[in-house]
Amino acid sequence: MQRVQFLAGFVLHTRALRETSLLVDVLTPDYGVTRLVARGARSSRSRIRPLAQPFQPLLVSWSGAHELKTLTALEEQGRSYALEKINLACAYYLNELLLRLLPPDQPCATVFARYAASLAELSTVKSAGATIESILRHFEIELLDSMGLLPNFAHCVRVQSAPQASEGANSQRFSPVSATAIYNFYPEQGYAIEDDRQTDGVDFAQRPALSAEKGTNVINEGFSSPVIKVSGSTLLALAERQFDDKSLQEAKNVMRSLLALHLGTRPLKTREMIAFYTKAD
Amino acid sequence: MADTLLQDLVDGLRCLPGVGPKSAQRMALHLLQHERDAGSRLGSALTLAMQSIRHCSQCRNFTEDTVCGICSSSERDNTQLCVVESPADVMALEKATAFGGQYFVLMGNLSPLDGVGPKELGLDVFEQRLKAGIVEEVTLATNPTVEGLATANYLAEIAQRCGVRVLQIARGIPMGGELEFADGNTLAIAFSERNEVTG
Repeated sequence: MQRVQFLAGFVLHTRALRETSLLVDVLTPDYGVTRLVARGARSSRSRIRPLAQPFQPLLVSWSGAHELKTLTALEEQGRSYALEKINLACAYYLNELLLRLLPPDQPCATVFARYAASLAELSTVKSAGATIESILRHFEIELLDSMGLLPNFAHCVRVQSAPQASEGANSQRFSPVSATAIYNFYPEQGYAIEDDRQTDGVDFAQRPALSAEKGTNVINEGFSSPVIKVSGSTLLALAERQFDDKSLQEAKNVMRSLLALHLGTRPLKTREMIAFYTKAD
Repeated sequence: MADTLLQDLVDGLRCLPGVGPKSAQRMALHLLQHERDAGSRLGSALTLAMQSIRHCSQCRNFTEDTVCGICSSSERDNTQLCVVESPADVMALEKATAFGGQYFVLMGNLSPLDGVGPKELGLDVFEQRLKAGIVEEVTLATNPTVEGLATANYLAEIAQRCGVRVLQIARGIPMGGELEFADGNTLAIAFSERNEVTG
């Protein structure tokens, strides 16, 4: 029997269950995403219903021995974040990522802290643009990092072009990413490759025969994600989680390709909403 | 085999909200025992309603005609449009307010996490209606939930792009409620949007 009392948390999503009950997905630092049943919460006199809204800091209590636990109380812990339009769409995007990616009932203290901080940051942003993008990238990085799915952005694989310059044909080394170089990022393998032959901007995706040609085994063999061309400065920005306007667009492509690996084929609905507001500006 | 009809009736009644096997059985037996005529009327009314009632081509509320009574009435102001989530909201507003314009019924709200986006909600129909140029003022009366707010934001954006004035219904403490038990958000909004007492 698990009994949790007054744990800081957020409601991520609710949906109707039978006639009067509510299924509530909550996020807490100690238990991650937990699915709770709020019995009778859809009746007009319910104390839970007005509070079971997303983006409201709460104290959550539940009990139960099985997979589906019972929500016993919700209490406000401060004001709800004032989110509107694109900020609200972005906040929903965070919720959709958490629900789609985070394994249930796993502690996630760092993600929780980042989530709360992201909501606070989103509520102060006035318009679409770099600040919002940076908040989203920061959150995506933290989420993948907590799940052990974040690549090491600060290091790359280096493929030597001249066989005589190295010890045999199979020469690959991990080396620090240089801010001035251009890299091919392989989402599925989770690393970037700098090819020192690549001075003319030829994309690795156009050269699938490279692995056979060079006898190396690091190239995109047997994987289907597209290769992403990315500058070293962006990889370093991703590693340090500090973005400028230039690195944000590239970072978005890199993070999107990484998330796509784990999200499956169903598209993110919240992205459509964000796109609607960004088109307006 | 003898009791197939009775069993079908009981099973059929269970599609009603809040009706389990026990209540369905009670209803079926009651109709058969005491309300045969009413039961027949109910049956034919159900058949007719299910066959004939569709969505109004303008507001999407339920109607047996192509255009519903409110949309076709010459006494309603067609420059004023009120957007609500469900047909029940239209009934509540009609009963309680003196709104003299027309409605647009969303039949739900934006719920991206349930896969209901703008397309699924048919917001393109709403946009076309505004683009027709007759509507001058839109009042958003979605439910005061975060999903309702997301829906209202979206509708407001569409309306503003079409150059239509947008209003939103106020929020506050319900009649018979108590401040002490009101949720903080409602109380905060009710307080920040307090009105001057005149006269």
